[in-house]
Amino acid sequence: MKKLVIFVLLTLICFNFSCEKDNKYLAFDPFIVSLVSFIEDLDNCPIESISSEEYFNYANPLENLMMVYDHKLIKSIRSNEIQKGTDIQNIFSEEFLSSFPSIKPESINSETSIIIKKINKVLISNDNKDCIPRLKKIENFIVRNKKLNEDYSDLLLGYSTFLRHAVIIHEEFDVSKDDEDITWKECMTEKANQLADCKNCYVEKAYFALSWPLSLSIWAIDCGIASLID
Amino acid sequence: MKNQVERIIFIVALIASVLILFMDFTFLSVILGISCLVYLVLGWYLLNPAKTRRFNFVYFWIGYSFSTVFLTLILVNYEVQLFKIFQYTVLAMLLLSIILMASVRKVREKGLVENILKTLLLIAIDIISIII
Repeated sequence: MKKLVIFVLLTLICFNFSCEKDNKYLAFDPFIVSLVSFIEDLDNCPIESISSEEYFNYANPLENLMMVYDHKLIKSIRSNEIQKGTDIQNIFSEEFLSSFPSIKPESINSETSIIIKKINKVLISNDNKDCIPRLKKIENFIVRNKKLNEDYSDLLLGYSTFLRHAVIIHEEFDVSKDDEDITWKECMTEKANQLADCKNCYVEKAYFALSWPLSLSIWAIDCGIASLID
Repeated sequence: MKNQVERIIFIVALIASVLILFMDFTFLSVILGISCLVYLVLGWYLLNPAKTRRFNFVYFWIGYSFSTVFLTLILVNYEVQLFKIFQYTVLAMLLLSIILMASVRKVREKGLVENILKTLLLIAIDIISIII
């Protein structure tokens, strides 16, 4: 029930606040104000301008803890439970928040939701490759300015780290898709397409059509073996 | 009895072949798939009107051609890229079947008209599938 309330709160807050309200809340907290302007500047700046020093002097205390959640993220991404974008909040609120007592669910309020919205914008408006260093910069900023507001910083740091890991896993999953096991049907279709696309294979094609029981059986067995081995 | 069974199978397969050119139903592919296997495995037996085992190869070739026609129509239905080469190859196979039937004396004696008619019907379906 508690998890559900957190998720509903997060979702409602993230999507229903207007810009006017954003500015109203921003006016009260210097940490939020500076973080919002930092993210906005970051979103506009080209990725080349992010220094390598920033990238390597990275000291996120949650980084090592995230390893525990990576396999859960992989599982969720593989089963298409999460997509790039806002679905990550669901897993974040259910899995991540519940296991970090230092992150108080009370800190998910309108102010943090503004930042979450901004961070989401960074994710959605950029390619995966670009948004990873941007998220890292955000995390660096939060770590450096943690003392300004410890209530929000843990939550936002957790969110950004969680999101970054999800993006990395998403990307790795997409890259590894090429080497992934192909099904028997895909294998057969690929073979058919290869032969059909062959430009100087008139006799080969005719031979295939003439001896189709044998040729198709060979394809079927090859694809069967391939799908079993992979 | 054997000839009756073969005729029923052929008529069902022929109707499915015509329908599959204009409709996209899985059961038509299933019917054609079964007919394809029947003619591939038992064509030499079913198409031979005489009890003699002579010229089994000719009847096997006719059955094989019929079988290839049905497979081609399945490929056309599923838009497998290879279907074009099958369409032209099967046309050649069916024409060769007619030549074989007309040229081998023993084959010519019995069931020639019926088998040539079936082959011509399948040629017509193949040509329609090429045109469409």
